[in-house]
Amino acid sequence: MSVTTNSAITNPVSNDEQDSIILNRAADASPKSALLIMVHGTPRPVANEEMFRVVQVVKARGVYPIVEVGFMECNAPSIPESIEACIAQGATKVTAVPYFLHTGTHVADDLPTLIEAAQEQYPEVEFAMGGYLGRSELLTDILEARTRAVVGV
Amino acid sequence: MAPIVEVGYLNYSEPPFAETVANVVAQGATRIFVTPYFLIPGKFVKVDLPRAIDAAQSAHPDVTFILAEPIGYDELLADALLKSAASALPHTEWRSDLVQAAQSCRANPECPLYGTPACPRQPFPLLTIQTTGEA
Repeated sequence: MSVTTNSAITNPVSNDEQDSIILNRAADASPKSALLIMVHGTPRPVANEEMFRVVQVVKARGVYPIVEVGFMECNAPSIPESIEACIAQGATKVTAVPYFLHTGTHVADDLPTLIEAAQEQYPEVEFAMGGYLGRSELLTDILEARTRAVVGV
Repeated sequence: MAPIVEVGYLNYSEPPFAETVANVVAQGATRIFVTPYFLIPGKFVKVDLPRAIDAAQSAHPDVTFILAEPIGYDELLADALLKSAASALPHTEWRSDLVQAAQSCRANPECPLYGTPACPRQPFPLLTIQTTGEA
């Protein structure tokens, strides 16, 4: 009791704040889900800026408590490094999504190889992999918008 | 939108960009809107594509070329990523794209995979020798 009183004096928090602390602790104790966005990488790193803006939107949606970007080549962190970062943050499930438009050799072979290696290295973590971006019909809307922006110029 | 819509590639795949331009000009196009199907404004968009357009402009001086922005930033990409993650595939399907790739590509000596075991079209060199032996 005295401990509770002391902490209430040294660290006064409202009931609402206390509830939120308890909820956050509960969330910490539950399985953590990570989203790993796998990106090609570029010798022109400034070209990644728009991708990072997309990642900020994904983070802001709040669906995944952990969101990391890993690069296939050229830029850091690498995909194995970003998987490590997810796990260091307590991820028990990692869902990897290729930020790629085409089923080239990276999407078809290299990325599955990296995720399979990670699954072997971390057998206690559950890995999943989503389809690549080019599969989404939303790309059609984006291409149309880019074209409309210059039609009539 | 444009009455003629065609795809042209900057490398490996067919038809190449210049061939597609010639094709749409043959169909009567006088203005060509070039929309880069690229995620980021990297070397292909900033260097290779303008060069390809310059060459096409020289080959077709009466045609107007208008270059649009690449995909770049779009909130819809965040939606696409989250949708893709929500329908993540079981590990048995991680390589299904590799299996299906052979249906949509052809052996091209300019492709980095040509003649390697990773090429879904070109037989592994060892197999070629074996086939010749049988014949």
